[in-house]
Amino acid sequence: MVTHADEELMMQFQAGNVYAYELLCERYRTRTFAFIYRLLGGDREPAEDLLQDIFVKIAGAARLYEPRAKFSTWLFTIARNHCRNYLKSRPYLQQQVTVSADIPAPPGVDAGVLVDTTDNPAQNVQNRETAEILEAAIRRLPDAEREVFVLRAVEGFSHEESARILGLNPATVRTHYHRARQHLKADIGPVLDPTSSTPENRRPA
Amino acid sequence: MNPCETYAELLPEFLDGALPPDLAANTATHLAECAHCRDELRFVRTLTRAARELPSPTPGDAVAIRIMQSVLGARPVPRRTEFGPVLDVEELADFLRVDPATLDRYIPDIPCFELGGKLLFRRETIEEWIRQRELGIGLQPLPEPQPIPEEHEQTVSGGVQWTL
Repeated sequence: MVTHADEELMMQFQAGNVYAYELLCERYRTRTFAFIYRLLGGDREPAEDLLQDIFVKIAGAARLYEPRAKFSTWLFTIARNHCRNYLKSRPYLQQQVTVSADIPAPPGVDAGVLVDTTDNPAQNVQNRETAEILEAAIRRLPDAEREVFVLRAVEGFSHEESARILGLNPATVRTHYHRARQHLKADIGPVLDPTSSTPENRRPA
Repeated sequence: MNPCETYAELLPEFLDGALPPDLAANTATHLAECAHCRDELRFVRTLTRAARELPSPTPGDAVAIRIMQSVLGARPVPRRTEFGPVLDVEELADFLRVDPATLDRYIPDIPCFELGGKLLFRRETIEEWIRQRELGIGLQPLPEPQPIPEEHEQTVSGGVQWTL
């Protein structure tokens, strides 16, 4: 089977091939949704609405796309800006995020599906619990740190790509990412790595 | 900022192999000497692995349908249904009911003329071209079969035998 590069599919869509865009949507729908969902602190309904808005917006702006830019970077830049605008227009969301952080598993997320990498049931339960604890801790991060952490650690974007998506100086991205890790270490460090100690008692002399 | 904090910020890029060689070498030297930073490196690894293995929340199935309906609905130019005697490439795509990308593959085979740097097509000639490509019952052969270019032979050769 021939796999077309994202950029090639986008060029085909620019030339009028709607099916090329359908393929792109198929390819990025879940990943983009997961990104939006996490940036919105686990709020499913607006995340689905934003997902639709984003793919429709990209279709409308397709003629502006230049293949010099990596499609995924372009897509996530638009997605992040949409989330930012949405969060600005919903100042009371922070309250909802705090509440939702206590919910064990967000609806629609089968926390066991991707973490069940072993036949050991006890290990599976532990992996699932760790995933839920990490998701909740990510939701508790300040917005700027959560954005960087999700892009870098969860989505696997490089340092430069993350800076481009967020429109930030690479040094700022580095600092936000470091602070996010420190917050997560203080929050759930012992859960992730039971053999390590908290930052407070491991400071070098 | 103490040196450990400076190096701690660089650890993810160190693990990605994205640091410039001299900075990577300095970081490696510091790690060899500093137990605290080695501990930090292990945490970065553990955290990154846990983050990559997080299950992806998935959108509902209806969203995919809604997206494509909106995209199709937002197409700026609807397919044309009325055509003049001369067509440009986009009009020809609509006339033949294919998308322009598909049409591109057939352009070398389609009779056309050029004017002002633009490829144009006579609608009458296109209709004739379609007739030549048609296969099936009820079609009449052309009165004077034209010599067919070599690349056409495969697709059209069966057609000249049409009889009722």
